Amino acid sequence: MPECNVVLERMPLLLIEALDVSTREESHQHIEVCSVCATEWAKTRQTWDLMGELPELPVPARVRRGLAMHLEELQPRSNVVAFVPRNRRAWLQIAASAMLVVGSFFAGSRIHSGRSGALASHVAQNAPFRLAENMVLPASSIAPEIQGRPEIRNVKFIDNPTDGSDVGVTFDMTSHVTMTGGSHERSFVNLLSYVLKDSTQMNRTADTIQWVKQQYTGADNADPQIVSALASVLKNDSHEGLRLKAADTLRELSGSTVPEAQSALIEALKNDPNPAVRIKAVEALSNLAKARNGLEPASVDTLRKKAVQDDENPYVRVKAAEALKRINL
Amino acid sequence: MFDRLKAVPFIALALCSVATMAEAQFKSTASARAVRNFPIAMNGALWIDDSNGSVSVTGADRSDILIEATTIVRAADDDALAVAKTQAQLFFAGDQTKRVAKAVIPEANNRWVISVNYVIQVPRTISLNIVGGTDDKVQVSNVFGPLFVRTVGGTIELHDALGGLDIDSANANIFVYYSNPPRVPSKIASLNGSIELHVPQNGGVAWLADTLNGDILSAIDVPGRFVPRVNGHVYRGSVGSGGPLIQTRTITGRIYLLPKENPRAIPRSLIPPTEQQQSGPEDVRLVLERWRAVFLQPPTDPTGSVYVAHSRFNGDFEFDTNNGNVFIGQVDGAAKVTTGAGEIALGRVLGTCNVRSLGGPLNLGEVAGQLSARTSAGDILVRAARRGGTVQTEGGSIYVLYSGGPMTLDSGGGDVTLRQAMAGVKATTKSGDISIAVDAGARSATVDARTVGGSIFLNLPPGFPATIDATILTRDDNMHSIQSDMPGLTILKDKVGNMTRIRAQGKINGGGDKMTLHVENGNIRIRKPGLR
Repeated sequence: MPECNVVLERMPLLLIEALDVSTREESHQHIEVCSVCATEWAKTRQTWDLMGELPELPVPARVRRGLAMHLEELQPRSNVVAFVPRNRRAWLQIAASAMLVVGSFFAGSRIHSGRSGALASHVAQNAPFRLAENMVLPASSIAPEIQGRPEIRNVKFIDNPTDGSDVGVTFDMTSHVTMTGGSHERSFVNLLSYVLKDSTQMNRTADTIQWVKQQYTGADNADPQIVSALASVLKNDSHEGLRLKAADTLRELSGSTVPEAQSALIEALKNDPNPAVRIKAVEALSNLAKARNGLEPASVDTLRKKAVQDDENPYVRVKAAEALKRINL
Repeated sequence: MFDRLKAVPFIALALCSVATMAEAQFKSTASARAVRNFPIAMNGALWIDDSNGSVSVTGADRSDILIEATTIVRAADDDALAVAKTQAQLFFAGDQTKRVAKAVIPEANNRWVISVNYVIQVPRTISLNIVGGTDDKVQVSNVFGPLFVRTVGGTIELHDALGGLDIDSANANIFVYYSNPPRVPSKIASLNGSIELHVPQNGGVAWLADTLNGDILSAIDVPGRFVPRVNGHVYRGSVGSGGPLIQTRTITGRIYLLPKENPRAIPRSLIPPTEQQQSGPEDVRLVLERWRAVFLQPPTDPTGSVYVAHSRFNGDFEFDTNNGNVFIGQVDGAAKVTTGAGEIALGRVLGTCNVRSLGGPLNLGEVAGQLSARTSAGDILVRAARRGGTVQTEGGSIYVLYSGGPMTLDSGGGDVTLRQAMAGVKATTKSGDISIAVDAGARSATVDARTVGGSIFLNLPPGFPATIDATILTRDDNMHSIQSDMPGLTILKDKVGNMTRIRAQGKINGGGDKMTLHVENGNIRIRKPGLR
């Protein structure tokens, strides 16, 4: 009779009937007489059944790309890989069908009031356009026209989609979206926060932060979510130019009392290797002290330590001392 | 130690509530007085933690501690007063070796303010530790034991505290009076406040005064010397035959050494004045207002410590200071400015311009001659470098609007931007983006740009001939790329160790000046003006 731990290890194979007959029989006999293993076996089967009921989701493009990259690295390859232009003929054949679907989707989702013949779907009309990494859309909900020249990659066809449709096509699409509205609308704030916080975003340049600075500067204009996102850039980004910009913008927005901002400024003042970031952090804390007629003890303590830190840049020290002057007496 | 902790709720005290019109904002006032008496050993210690109020400690011939604590509540109205009374608590704890008196009061708000004032008598020999708040007045007299004080603001006044002093405050003005010379060394520091040290004129003490951005003054003959230091001033001298060292230290505050016998004696600064300081600065706001048009942006803090602020110098201008900001509207000749710590802002320089700061931003308007600008920390802004030059920061961004000659731009960490280059550019940053726009009128412009952990944006005018050699070293070639609005480049990828090298080479518009662009883990964009 096998030990419990041996049976527990065998359970995944037992589930998929991958054990030989004698081992399988021996395992089942043990489970029948062992209450611990019987309970575990019941739980395992229940989990297995539940997993089978879960809908099958497409693998996110980013995960797929990362996996493909790692697999590629594992394979032997020649040292030099020439840059090969795309096979436009084959590409066009695939894209022709895909473009129809994609463009139609866009035609439906970007409703243009003056455009005649737009087959905006009921989905697009009733639900707002959602920025998402993955979306599944029925063909009937997509207008047939294609607008602009959306870039489509990674096209694959599905013969038997799980929803009972005849065919399916998946693809990655790069398109240009223009959002208009008020700077404090939740959609705007969420998008900007996402762009600022996501270090994989290509668009997160100094221009983005500069734009945020222009839009949200003002005593009552700082959105806490934006301030929090800037604090995240200041705290986590390896790009010193961006950290400088983030600290500078927080300096302008320092009327805000978002705790993450203060904590990020204190952290930057203590540990940022770039002295210019530390200068801006001091100035931001100084503005904060002025706006709030005081500072928290932790901030005061950090400024105080900076002012007397012999190996700190003298300008940072003087600025820290001057910031302390602004504390309400 | 704290087994005998006693909490004395404020509401349990005999509370006398008197509604007064003491202040317009706080119309209702209440006060409560608590008196406690604790035995303590002759070498014991007393800790007083008072976040708001005053502390007065006097040494006396006794063997116990007598604490009289008065809690004062000021509130906007009677309702607020009733709530505020429940917020303050006094704690007395400890044993004969160590006693603690602590006031726990909530932060002041627009409804009420609570303060606790202590009047304490102690045996002369015990050690005292006082931690105060933002506007405390701390007064200690006639004690022999060690004294430790930490406050944020207010004043600290010590009379014949002859034990070792360890005094540190952010903004407090500190007054130390010795009737007799102290017996042990002491440390006294205030970052922004002044320190007045009153000692017997013939008494024996050694004195060290250390200030980064303040002044050192004495009304006593105190032979000594300045200790060489790059930033600030350190003076070491002796009064009489010398004795235990009293260290006094500030960042922006003044340090005074005054005779006990004549406290009204007029002190003189021991720091030799410079010629420029003697001439006296103009009003800095006026200077900035007058020359606002030529600055790229206003200096960051015109209210900071200013050594020099002038609207115009007719000839050459040369200035060298350990610390301080320098704001000059226009220099008709060459400018050479150095500061140990501070901002330099020059509106217009008609000759060569050589500025150097060991820490602080540089803000330069129009520079007609060759430019050399360096700072150890801070951003550098230049409106126009007509003949080009060198701009260097060890940490900070560089922003140049116009360069009429070859420029070298170097940042230890930060973005580098040159908006309009009429000549060659060499730009490097350890971490940050580089943006260079070559002007359409530039006949020749060799570009060499290198960054790690950033991107390069090169804008070339239409039809500008250039030979491109652009390289990206990246760990993720899906994320980073070379993109060019202009045709003519051949892009190759290969592996270098565990990184991918993406290289674009080729001639644009038939080839011309060499443009070498090198990026690690970033992108390269070669663009035409006006295109996204």
